[in-house]
Amino acid sequence: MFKLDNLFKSTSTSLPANFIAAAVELNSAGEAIHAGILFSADGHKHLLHFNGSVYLEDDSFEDWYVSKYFEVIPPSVASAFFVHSLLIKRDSTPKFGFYFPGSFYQEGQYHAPQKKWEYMTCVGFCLNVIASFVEGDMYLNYKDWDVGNFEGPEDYIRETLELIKRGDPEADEHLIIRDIRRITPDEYLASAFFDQLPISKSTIDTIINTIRAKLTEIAKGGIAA
Amino acid sequence: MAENKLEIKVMQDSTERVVELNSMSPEAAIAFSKIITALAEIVANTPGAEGINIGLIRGSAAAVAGGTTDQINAINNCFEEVVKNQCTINEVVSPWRDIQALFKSNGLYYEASFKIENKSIPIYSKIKENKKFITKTPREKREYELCFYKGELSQAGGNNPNLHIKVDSQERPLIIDCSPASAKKATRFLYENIMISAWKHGQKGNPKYCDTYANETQFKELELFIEKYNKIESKVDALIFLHDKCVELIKFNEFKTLRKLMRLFDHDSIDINEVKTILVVTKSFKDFDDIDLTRKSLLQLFNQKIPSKSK
Repeated sequence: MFKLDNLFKSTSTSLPANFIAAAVELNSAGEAIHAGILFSADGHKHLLHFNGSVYLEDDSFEDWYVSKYFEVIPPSVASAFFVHSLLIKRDSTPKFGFYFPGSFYQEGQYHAPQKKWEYMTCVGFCLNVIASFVEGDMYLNYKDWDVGNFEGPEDYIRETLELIKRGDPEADEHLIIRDIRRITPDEYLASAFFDQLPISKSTIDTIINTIRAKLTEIAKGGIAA
Repeated sequence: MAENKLEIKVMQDSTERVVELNSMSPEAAIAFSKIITALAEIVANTPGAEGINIGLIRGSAAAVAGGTTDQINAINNCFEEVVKNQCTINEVVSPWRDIQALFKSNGLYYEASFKIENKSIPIYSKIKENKKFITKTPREKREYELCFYKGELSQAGGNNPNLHIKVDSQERPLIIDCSPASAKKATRFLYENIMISAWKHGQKGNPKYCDTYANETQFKELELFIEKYNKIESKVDALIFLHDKCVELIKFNEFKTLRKLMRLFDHDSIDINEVKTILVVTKSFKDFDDIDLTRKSLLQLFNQKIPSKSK
């Protein structure tokens, strides 16, 4: 059930010892500009995120994040999730790009139709991590997003195409464009409210404006730490 | 007499004045009271430190815990574990972490050192520059123990089905409770050597049958795996060890042994994180003949262990 009150700040002092949550960083206008996975295993809090490199930060990360526990991941498996994160931190080599082909990380290895196109955004990284951890075949119905509903400057599409082609000159452009998509950090945060997989864009659209309004309010001091 | 102590001093405040006990700035006073509280908690909770008293040094904002060589060594040894994130006692790690937070925040300056038999061991830099101290999570004590047995199967079945196994060195046969289906399967080993695993619940009742092994290499491999697995002290290290073993078996296409390994974790006493670790690593192979049924059973166990809505 959607309850906006279930959003919390990562700096809260009353967090449980075990949890796994989608987390977004806000700018001063309340826009979600970065995504990560905030989790705590037996009281040890961490933030896993991709910002050009993969970071698995301990409790000392300075920025605060607005978070929501994933409905599809029980908090009792936080230790197993910690291990999953450690392996991904150890073995993955993602590069930045607006690309998501329904891939996932398993044993730290990137699984996708084109293995060497390990490109993703901060959101794509989180989705790749979550996709192999949940039992379902897909976490998001990622094909609901494409170049047609791309949120962002069109330049990003062209730049991603050029980036992947530079790394793989023989690549078929149509194959690349098919999987260029942008799932925004606030859409990723919204996905955490749902427990029926795969989560579609239309499901997320039912709450996204409410979420965005709440994030704006939070940026102005809406949730106490 | 040799001096043995742990001393922590607030050296200067942010205006670079020397801090004196009879006239401290509010920030120095707050820091000093936190240090005394933390020191008292460290002394109260470090094993081997019983009997140590805390004192203040006249004139300067220094808190001291003084004692015998053994007592101060006990605190120092425990401190070294805390620094390596190997200490499992939260009541010791937490005050050291509080001291660390003071040292890491800007504005005030501190000195901290052990003195053991007059030899000074400074620790301020080690505390300040270390990553945040965290308490190591120990493995939870298991209610059930997985045991491996081999011997001659002298009997199988009965109204309360069980297996009687003559283990070499023992006079009386070992009795292992099992299901009728398992007793029936085991009859092919009657009057021959059998290798099995079973769950033992302390001294309560007979061990409960888990699995049979036709192959001594596989039996020994799994027995050794469980022996090493049980010795790992940290929960996370144990899960990584389990994960790596599954990956190794997958890499060498040893799915039959993987199935046997998975069955060792198909028990109500198993921690949900262990089950989840196996489910994650085997997800891509969930339809493989050799492991699909065992994996489904583990998935059922997993679903039983969590609240109904989050699956």
